[in-house]
Amino acid sequence: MLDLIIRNGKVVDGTGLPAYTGDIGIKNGKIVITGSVKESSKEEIDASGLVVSPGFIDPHTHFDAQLLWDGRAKPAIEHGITTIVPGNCSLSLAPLKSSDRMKLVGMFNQIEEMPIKAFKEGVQWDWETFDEFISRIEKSLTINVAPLVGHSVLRLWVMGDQSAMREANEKEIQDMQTLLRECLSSGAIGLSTSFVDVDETLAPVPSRYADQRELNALCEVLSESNKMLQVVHEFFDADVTIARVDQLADISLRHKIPTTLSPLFVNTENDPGVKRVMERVKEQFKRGARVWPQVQTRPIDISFCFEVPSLLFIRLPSWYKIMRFGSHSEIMEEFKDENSRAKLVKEAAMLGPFWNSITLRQVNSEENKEFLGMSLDEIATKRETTPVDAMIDLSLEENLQAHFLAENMGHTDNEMIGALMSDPHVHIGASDGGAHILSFSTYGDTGYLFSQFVRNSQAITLEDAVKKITLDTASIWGMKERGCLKKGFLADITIFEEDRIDRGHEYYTDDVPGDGHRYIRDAIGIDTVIIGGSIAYRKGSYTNAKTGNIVSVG
Amino acid sequence: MSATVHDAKIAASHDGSAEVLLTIKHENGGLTQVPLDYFAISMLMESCQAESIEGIIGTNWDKVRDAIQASHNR
Repeated sequence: MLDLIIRNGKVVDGTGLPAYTGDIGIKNGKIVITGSVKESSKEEIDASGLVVSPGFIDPHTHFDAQLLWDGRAKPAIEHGITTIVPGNCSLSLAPLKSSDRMKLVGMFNQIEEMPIKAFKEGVQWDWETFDEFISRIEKSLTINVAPLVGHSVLRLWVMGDQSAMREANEKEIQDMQTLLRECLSSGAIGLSTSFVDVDETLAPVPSRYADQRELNALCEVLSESNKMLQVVHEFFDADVTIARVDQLADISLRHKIPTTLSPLFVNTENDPGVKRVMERVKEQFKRGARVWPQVQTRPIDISFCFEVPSLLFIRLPSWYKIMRFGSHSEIMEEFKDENSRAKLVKEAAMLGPFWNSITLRQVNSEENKEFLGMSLDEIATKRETTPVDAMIDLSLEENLQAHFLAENMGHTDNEMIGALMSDPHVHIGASDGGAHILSFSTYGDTGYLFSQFVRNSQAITLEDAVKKITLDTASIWGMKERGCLKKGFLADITIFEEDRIDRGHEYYTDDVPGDGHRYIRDAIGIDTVIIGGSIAYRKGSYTNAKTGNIVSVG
Repeated sequence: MSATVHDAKIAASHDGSAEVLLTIKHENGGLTQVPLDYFAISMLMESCQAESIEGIIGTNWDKVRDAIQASHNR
């Protein structure tokens, strides 16, 4: 008798081969039969009319802290994700000496916008080593976790305060090698480093002080077990990115390890910089190197409130002037004064319909909450005023604490991004799931891949889109027995509606410890998510399954 | 004669804030892009006495470099 059978689904098996109608039989957490299943089982799912695919894998997340209070990494699972890679960008929560905890919390707060209060109230600090951290989280996992260890924390452990001041000496490099080896043997799937991030004092994070000698020594350890090097590169500069591609290619060839750099953004229409980067990536693949650029599916939104200066207003001299030089009270006065306001409104008209689609995303007063999620155009209609006036009025009423969102301001050239999605040299990722929680939602990129690039622009087929975020990801990272619906593979499975799968609207919620908030998106069109053979999520509800594992690679 | 600012656009940064993307034109005609954060672009506009972003078009690269450096050292 099998444990679970999924019957009559449209099976998209992760290989990129055409879908077929069939059944999947599961026993002891693994796929044991595909095609026609004659046996009986304890539980059955009728997947008629639904796509049955391997569970999606998200290779760039920062769920590290959240996993301490939420083993489901909500809402990742409901978006079809069964495996996450935390610990990116040189930051992991282990290994970490107790004396360095607040230092690392400061870095997480600065780089990933994880609230300090959430760490203080949601985290029981009872680990120091990587092994202890893994033991701490693995008991309550619903989602699979493939953790990276951060280069900055290795440095912090070995060098203390000196880690953010200088290069390491030979003894310190050897100690970092030993420490990395221990982390890898305790479950780390690779090392993450950063060439660009800053800490809470705006000083470079420790990994940026490493020289090539140190990076090579650490990659030598990665090569002992074929593990990944993840890098945050100077993504805002195409020329430096190309130099980093070359550097990573040399590391990859020298140590025979995979490397990945993230993120690669399309900053302008038909971005020539991205084209040049991709040409160099392809050249390096021809040499035999593995340098995987990660590209995110979703466009970038810009958020702003008048309490904090934003460059969004730099084309408008009067607005820029009051935001650049005005104090809080001076901005309030400018908004209240009839003449100043008239001048601002007139100048804002230069940007035409730009204002109409800006949405209100956060207010403090109860009376304005009815407008949350509405565009300025909609609010203006309700208040019988203009969109710009509505923005000014709301800002006055909220003491400048009304937060607005300008959507689709970057990474929006869907033709070019679609071509990248289907490019075999591109790794779909860079979601940043679990990070930037107070600025925007980092969830739903997988749904957006299907809604925008499979259904709308048809830049990629259903089968190839599934392959890119399942078997390709598992293969790039060396994850064993994952990412494919074949006999012997682990039963991580997502069942979804081909015509509906999407990301939902962004909204503000209060499920972060310490009375914290975050922006989040629900999923659309995800029917069932199975992790390790158990149903973790079905038709809008989570089960009590805790069958997530620490993922092994190599 | 050295490189000059050829174009300036508002762009979205990785963390959801706005930044300005400058296109720099080199003497040989080559183009490259440089992003400036709030502090750097403010410094640059002040050094050019520009009232809006358009006012920095044509500015010499030296001023851009100084603004980036000032932002980095703040």
